[in-house]
Amino acid sequence: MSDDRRRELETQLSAYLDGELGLAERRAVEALLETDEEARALLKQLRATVEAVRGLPRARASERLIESLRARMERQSLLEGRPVPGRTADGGRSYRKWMAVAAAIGLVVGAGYLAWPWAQEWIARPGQQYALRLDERQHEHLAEQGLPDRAPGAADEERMAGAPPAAAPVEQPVADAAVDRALARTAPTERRVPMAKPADDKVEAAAEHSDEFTAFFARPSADSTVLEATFADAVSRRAAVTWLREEYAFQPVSPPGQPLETASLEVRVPDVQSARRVVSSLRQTLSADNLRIVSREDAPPLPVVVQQEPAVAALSDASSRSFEMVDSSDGEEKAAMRVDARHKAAFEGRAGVAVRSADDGQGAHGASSAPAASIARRPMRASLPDTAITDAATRSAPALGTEIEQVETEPSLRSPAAAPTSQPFQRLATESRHAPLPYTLWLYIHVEPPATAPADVNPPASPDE
Amino acid sequence: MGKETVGSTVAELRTADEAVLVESARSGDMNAFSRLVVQYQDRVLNTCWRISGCLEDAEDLAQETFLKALESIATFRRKSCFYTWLFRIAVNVSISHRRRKGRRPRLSLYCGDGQSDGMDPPASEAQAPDPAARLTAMETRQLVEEGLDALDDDHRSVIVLRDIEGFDYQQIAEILELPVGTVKSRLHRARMELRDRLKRVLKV
Repeated sequence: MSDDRRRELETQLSAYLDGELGLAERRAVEALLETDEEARALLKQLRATVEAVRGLPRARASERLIESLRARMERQSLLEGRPVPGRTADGGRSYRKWMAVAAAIGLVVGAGYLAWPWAQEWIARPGQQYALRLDERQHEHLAEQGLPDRAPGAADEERMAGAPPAAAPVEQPVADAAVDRALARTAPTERRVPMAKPADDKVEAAAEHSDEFTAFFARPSADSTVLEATFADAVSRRAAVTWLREEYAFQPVSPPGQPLETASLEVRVPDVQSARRVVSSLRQTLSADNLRIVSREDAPPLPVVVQQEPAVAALSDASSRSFEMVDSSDGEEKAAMRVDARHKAAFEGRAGVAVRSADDGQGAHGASSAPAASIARRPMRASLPDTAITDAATRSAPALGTEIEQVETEPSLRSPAAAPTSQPFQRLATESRHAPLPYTLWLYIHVEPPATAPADVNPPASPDE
Repeated sequence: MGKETVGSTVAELRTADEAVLVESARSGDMNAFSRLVVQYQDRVLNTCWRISGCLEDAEDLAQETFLKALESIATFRRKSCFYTWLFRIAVNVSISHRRRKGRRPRLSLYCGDGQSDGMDPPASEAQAPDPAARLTAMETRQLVEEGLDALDDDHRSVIVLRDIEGFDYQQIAEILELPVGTVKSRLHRARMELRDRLKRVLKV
C-alpha cells in the first residue's frame, strides 16, 4: 500500500469510528487496520479522544433560562417600547407576538396564567396602531360625530389634581419585581429633560432601544417626530396632558375652541439629541407600551380627532353594575379590596365600575386610601359582569398587588349576551382581546435649532448613556 | 416490526410532530413555539456552552438563540429541518459572542465539591471510588475542556455538534452549511488536533 493511500485511509478513521463510511470504504479501512499497527494505535487514540469529549458534563436548562427568556422579552418590550426586530408591516401583531410567547412559556413551565396575569393582558391588548389604520373617510366620520369625550366633572378634576403623570394606570402592566428593577435601572435621574446641546455623541444611546426611532432619525430630512400615546380613559389622558405641559412645555396645537383634553401637543427642541432625550424620558414615564413613534408622513393631519371606541362607549353605561374583589385566600369569603385613590380612579375611569371597599362595603366612595404597595399580593376572586370589565380588572390586578384566581360572570349582573358563568379567565380574556384602547394623543416634537446654541450648557449624563 | 423500524417510525412521528409545532409557531401559536423551546433548550444550552467555552454566558446565548429564532420563524424555510436551523443560529450566536469577547483565560465552572447548579457531573467523576480517582477524573475533564477551548471555532463547532450533541454528518453539514465531505475531513482534523493536546491524559 502506498503512503498516499495509507494517509488517505487514515483520514477515514474518524468517519469509520462514527459509522459514516460506505461499505467499500469501510472494508478498505478494516483491511488497513488488520495490517497496520500505527493505524490501530491512531484509531485507539481517536476513540479515546471522542470518549473524553463525550464524557464532559452536560448542563441542564434550568427554569432560570425560561424565566430569563421571559423576562428578557418583557424587558425588551417594556423598556424599548418597540416591536421586535423583523417586524412586519402589521407591526403591533409582531409586538404582541413577543408578549404572547412570553405568556406561553410561562404556561409551559407550569406557572400557568395565574402566575403571570398581566402577560395575559398583553395578549389581550389591542394594537396601538389602531388609530393609524383609519382612513380619511373614517377620520371625517369621527369628526362629524364630534368629540366623543365626556365633559370633565368635579370628580375628574379632583382626580387630576393629584394624579401622577403615568399614563393610563389601568393599562400599566408593571407589577413584577424583575420588571420594576429593570425599569429602575433605566430611570432618568431627573424627569425634566434638558433642552440643550448634549455633551457628546454618546447621547444617542438614550434612544438606542428603539429601532423605529433610530431609523427615523437616520433620515437626514427628518426635522420632527410624532409620538402616538394611547390611554385607557379620559382621566389618564388629561393627567398626562397636564404633566406634559408642565414638565416639557408641550403646547396645544389643536384648533381654537377644541377642549384641552382632546388637543394634540407639540414642543420645539434645539437639536435631534434633545428630541431623543424627550422621547427616551417619555417612554419611561408614560410607559413604553403607551407610546410609540410614528413617522411624520404617517401621522394624521392636524387637527386630530381623539377617538372613543364603541366598545368603551358601551361600557360607560355600565355604571350601575358593581365590581368587587373577594379575598378567599383563607377559605372564607370576605371583602378585602383596598385601593388607593389612583387605582380607584382607574377603575372608575375605565368602566364606570364601583369598587366596594373592605371598610364599609358601600361602594367606591368608601375605598381606602392605603398605598398600593401596602396591599399584600394574594389570590383574589373577582366577580365581574362582563368580559370587557374582566379585561379592565385583569389589567389592574397586578398594579393592585393581587392575582386573579378565577373570573366568573356574576349571574345577577350578567346581560343576556354575556358569557356563561364560571368561565376561566383565559377564555374571557381571549374573547375581549379585540377591544381596542380608546384614547390617542399625538405629540409633535420639532427640531428647531436656536439662533445661538447655548454652548456652555451641558445636561447631566443620564443613566442611559 | 424490527427495532430499527420501530426507531425509524418513532423518529418519523417525532419529526412530523415537530413539523406541526413549527407550522403552528409560524402562524403565531406561541404555545407551539414554547414547546419547541422546552424540547431543545438543553441541547441548545450545551451547544452554546461548549462553543462559547463559558457556561455563565451560555444561558444568555441560549436565550439569544431562541429570541432570534422567534424573530425570524416567519421566514423559516421548510427546506431544512427546524432543529438544523435552530442549531445554526446557536452556533453562529456562540461564535459571534466568543469573537466579540475575545479569547480569555478559561476558568472551570465545575470545581470544588464537584457540584454545580444545573450541571450533571460526568459518570467518571460521580462514580469514582475514592477522592484521588475523582480528582484525576476532574483534572482530565478540565484538560479536555481546555483542549476543546483551544481549538479554532470551526474545529470546535464540528466536534461539539458530533461528539457532544451527537448529530450525524449529514445533519452537521446542514447546520454548518457545508458539504458532507468537508464535515468529514474537518472533524478528523479537529480530533487529531485535540488528540495531540490530550496525549498526556489519554493514556493510549
